[in-house]
Amino acid sequence: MHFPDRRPDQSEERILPLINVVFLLLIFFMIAGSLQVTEPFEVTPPNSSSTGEHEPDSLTIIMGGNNRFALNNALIDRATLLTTVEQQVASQPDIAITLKADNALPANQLVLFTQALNERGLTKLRLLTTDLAP
Amino acid sequence: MQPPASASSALLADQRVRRKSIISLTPLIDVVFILLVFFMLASSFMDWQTLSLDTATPDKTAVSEIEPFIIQVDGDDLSLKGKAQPVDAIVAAARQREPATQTINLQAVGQTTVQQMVRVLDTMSKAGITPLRMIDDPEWQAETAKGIEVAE
Repeated sequence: MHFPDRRPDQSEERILPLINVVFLLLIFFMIAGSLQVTEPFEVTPPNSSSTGEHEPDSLTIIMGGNNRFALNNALIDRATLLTTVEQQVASQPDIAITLKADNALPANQLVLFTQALNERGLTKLRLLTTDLAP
Repeated sequence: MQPPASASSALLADQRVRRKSIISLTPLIDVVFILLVFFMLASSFMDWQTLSLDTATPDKTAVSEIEPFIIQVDGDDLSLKGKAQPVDAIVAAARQREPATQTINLQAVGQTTVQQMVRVLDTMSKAGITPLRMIDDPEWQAETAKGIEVAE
């Protein structure tokens, strides 16, 4: 006989722990995760035990297979990219650039590209790596 | 069947009266769930690190009487002065180089991948051997077309 009276209260109360958990999860993902930016093509950065901090630079170059390049997530061809870098370096001589290169690329391609960047006056280049995966 | 129906409608009316005073929970949960799913799908937990690259081009004009210290990296094999050697021997040789401030050049041979080079860079910097520089393999250019296919 008590059931009809109690049910509305109980159904709301039963939902409260669920909301608590969902809120906790929500706050966890909001704080711990960083929003992913969609890249024009997929690149797997190399694993490394290096400890260099990653602070976002104003310019990020993505270097993928098939001679594909992207500057700040926009597709660009190599020649235009190098010209842009040259202009940036001219206006900001101490500019740092983050390079995200695919781990399966031939290292020679990377080396030649860094040399090309150096010829345009760039002195600070950081290669993006991920934690050493087991 | 009559009594339960009337009881449930009375119950609903009762709930509506009650919910006018507080925020209804169901729409709130809907919104929170949508936010949760959004953040779960959109967030990434990649732990990014960086490796400073020495971009300096090898100085071709300066003639030095010291022979440059070049370690050739061919896939997972390392060789020093054209002689394949285990990693430990290479590290030991690099430690004993004269002068101790001489730059170590890591030359990528053929289709050596970025990952393999980064691994060698890691090994060297862990052993405290600096400065390191990557240099290219002059013979690689001819293989460019093939290299791109491999990379893809």
